[in-house]
Amino acid sequence: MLRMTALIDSHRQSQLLRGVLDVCLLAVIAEEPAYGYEMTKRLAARGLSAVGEGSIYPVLGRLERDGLVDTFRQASNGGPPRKYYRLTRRGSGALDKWSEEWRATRAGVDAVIGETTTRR
Amino acid sequence: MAIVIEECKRTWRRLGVAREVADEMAADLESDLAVAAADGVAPAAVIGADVRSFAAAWATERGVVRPRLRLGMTAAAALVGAIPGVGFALFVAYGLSSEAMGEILGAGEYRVGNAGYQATLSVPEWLLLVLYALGAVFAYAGAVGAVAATLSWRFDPALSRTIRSLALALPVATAAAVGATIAFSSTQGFSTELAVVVADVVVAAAMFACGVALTRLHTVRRERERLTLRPA
Repeated sequence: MLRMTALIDSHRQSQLLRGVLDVCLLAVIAEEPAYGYEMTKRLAARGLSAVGEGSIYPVLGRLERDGLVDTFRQASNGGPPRKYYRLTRRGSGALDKWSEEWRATRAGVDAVIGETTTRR
Repeated sequence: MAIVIEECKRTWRRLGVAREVADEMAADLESDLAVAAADGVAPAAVIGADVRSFAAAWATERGVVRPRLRLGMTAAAALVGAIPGVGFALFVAYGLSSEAMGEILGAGEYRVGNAGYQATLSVPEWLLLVLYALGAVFAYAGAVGAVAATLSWRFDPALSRTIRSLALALPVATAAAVGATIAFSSTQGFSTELAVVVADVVVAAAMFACGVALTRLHTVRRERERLTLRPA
């Protein structure tokens, strides 16, 4: 039963993150270019461990397709050159715009949840 | 890890991703999974348990999946999906007011025929119109839903565009099918002989299927042009 509840919670958190994963990835890449798995680690280090399980790569693919990020290859330790993602000028503009949208959404949700919590 | 990479490659091959693009994606993924393995993280924690869905989603979002025509599959799905709605409309047209239905229900008007008293169900015209409209809605939703389900199962990259186009084109295809059937039937004097009725159905189905196939063809061509125009 506990395991089932944990699974549902994890799925719910994953669904919540799905809608803002693109802006999170842009923010991570804006700090410093990164490769796919490295982004998973950076997000997890900030508490977004529910990200992953296949969701990052398709979003990176979309960002690349839309010209918000581009890629370059850099030598890795002992292995073949690794593909890194970096922000483009369009990506930088999108990051600013989407961050604003997220803050507005968060403020609205906080206002609603805050009122409900106070009444109870 | 090798099994995962191989499954991804197989999926990309099936989706028509160019070999050099698929090899590049596979190499990138392999490199990432190797780092994850060194951290003690299993591939499933990085890409999920459903490898095929992951590979298809990644390739589709990157825009490297060249959509296939799948004209026959799309047309067949639309035809099959429309069958329940069309069947319902045919039942309203021929079955609801039939003598057999009147007898089954045991109610209705009684009239004198050559064979004696026969029962038929009296259905108001407004109700007939409502039922026909319901049949049309069922057929429309069934056709669109069946195409969506079929293309989705195939991870078709032109799925959403096809559905949007079909939603607009289906009424036109249906009107063309009805028009062609009436025109054909008029050349046969609107005969109700079995061979003519079967031919009517074939004409209607063929026209409908042609409309769906043409819509899909147009959508896929536009999608391919979009892919070609996009910088690599």
